[in-house]
Amino acid sequence: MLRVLGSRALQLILVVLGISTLLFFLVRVSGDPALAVAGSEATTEDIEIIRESLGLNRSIFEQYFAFLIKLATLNFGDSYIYLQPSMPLILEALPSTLYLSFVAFALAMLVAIPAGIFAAVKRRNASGRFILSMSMLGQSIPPFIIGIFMILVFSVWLQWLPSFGNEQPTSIIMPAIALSAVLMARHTRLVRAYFIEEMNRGYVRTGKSLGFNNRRIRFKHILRNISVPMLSLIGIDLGKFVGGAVIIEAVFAWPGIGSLMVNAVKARDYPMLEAGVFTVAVMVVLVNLIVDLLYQFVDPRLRAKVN
Amino acid sequence: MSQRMSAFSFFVGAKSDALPKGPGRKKWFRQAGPISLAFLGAAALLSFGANLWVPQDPTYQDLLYRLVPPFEIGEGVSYLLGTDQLGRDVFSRLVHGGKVSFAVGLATATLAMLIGGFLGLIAAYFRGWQEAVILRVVDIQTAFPFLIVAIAIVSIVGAGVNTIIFTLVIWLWTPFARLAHAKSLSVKESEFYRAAISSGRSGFGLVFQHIVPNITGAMMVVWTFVVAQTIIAESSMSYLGLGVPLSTPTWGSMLSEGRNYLETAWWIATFPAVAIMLTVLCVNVFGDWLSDRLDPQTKEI
Repeated sequence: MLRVLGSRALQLILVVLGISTLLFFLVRVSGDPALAVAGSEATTEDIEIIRESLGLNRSIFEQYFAFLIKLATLNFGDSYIYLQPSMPLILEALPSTLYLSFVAFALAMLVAIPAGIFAAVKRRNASGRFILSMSMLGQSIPPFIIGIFMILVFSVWLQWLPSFGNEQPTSIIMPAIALSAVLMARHTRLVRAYFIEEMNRGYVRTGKSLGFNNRRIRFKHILRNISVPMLSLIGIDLGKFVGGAVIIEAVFAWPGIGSLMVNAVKARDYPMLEAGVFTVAVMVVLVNLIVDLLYQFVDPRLRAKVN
Repeated sequence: MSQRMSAFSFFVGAKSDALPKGPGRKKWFRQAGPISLAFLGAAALLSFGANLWVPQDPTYQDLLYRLVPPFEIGEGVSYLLGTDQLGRDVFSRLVHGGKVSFAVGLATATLAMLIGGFLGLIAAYFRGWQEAVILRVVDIQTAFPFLIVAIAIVSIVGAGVNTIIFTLVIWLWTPFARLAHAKSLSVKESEFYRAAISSGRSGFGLVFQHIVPNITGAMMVVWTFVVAQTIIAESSMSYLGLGVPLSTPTWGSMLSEGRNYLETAWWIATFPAVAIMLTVLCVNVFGDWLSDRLDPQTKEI
């Protein structure tokens, strides 16, 4: 248990340090950040003042050291757009991103697991093939396209659902569906593939010869056995999932950290961007930690090893 | 020699009855892969040769003919798929826009495969600290949402096709490294590899004659899926306005312009959306078909 926690803590430090360092040097290599901040109408004196206030007149090592201190104290500086400390703004937007991600993830799993099992059991029938084809189609549509066309159908034509924001309780429906679609399609295929593989195992044959009914074999035995590899894939996919959330938030003007970050990128608001990237990194590592802990819950063999 | 997969056997040698002939598996279904590949090839050729045959300059604005619906023949001018809010021909922009998608998809996946494959081979060949470092980096990158980093990098370095390719490559080499590493390790367990070592082979010759040919099939399969992923990533970034500069038509930027006209002019956003979906779908179908033939064991990386 402590080892898992320790290795995840190390991973967190490496992720944050690696990505922040990459961004830090790219900002410096790609041109003078002071020019970007000042805009095209600034005079030479203005730019000098900005350079001074951003600490850009010091050596690159001093700058990097100051940057590391900022990182360690979680003080990323004031946002250029909002003229407030950037970290609290990100934290304020975090719950709404978590809400959207959680609903979309739950939706994806609630559909993918039964659909995958069905497609595996009926793999030789038209119905099983149909699900497989649909999941291939679902994987081929970028989430933002699903979002746009849901807006067209349900907001513009039918006027059933609001097309942006999160003021109404129904606002979550379209962003959640659009965000979950890719994960849903992918995991339907994966559940199906793993399920078919397990159906050929010896324990399934043994179960059948002992007279267990199909339901018991499928849901008690096979499902438990595929949950371990599925869990590790879910851990990997959650990273991509957060990336998808950024786009979906932009499409639906959902007030989460994704929208904040896209605006920050457009305005070259680096403090905001750094705070956002940092927060996402922490979230991803925490989710992976939860997945690690779930392993032991799902697989008694791992529990026995740890104790 | 039997272990080597030449480009010839790669395309021609694959047996057409490699799929299990279950009841109900129709003939056309077995041909879905080649059909998709043919479609993609034709689409890519038409896009890259767009200058030669497309009726209009994709950036030419004709404000007299704004928002013309598709399939309508005007006086002397015809717009197959209509025009957008600035009177530009949607069909011409669609064909030209394909260039960016195909170029970014192919270049990124190929570069990522070369870099990732090389690092994966190094990890598997030397084991030791090289393996520890490379696998660690792969683990960390895989867990992190690359689109966020990609967006950040593009905003810093500046938009452009090269920036996008560079950004996507430094993120998408990881599946190739992971796969090359895992496959190489299993090759190293095999009899023929031990035989090669005992007959005195070592270094580059060993790696390129005995390991590389045996991991090529699986790498090709992953390559196709990375092409699909890249096309989606590029269109997402263009949609957010963080991709290629707006003067170059891309499917993603056409979509983001069309989003504001969904109510009045559905065709501006619909046709690029269909183009993206169809392309990615064909790449995925082809990849699926390829994986049935070349690499039935590897389901997922």
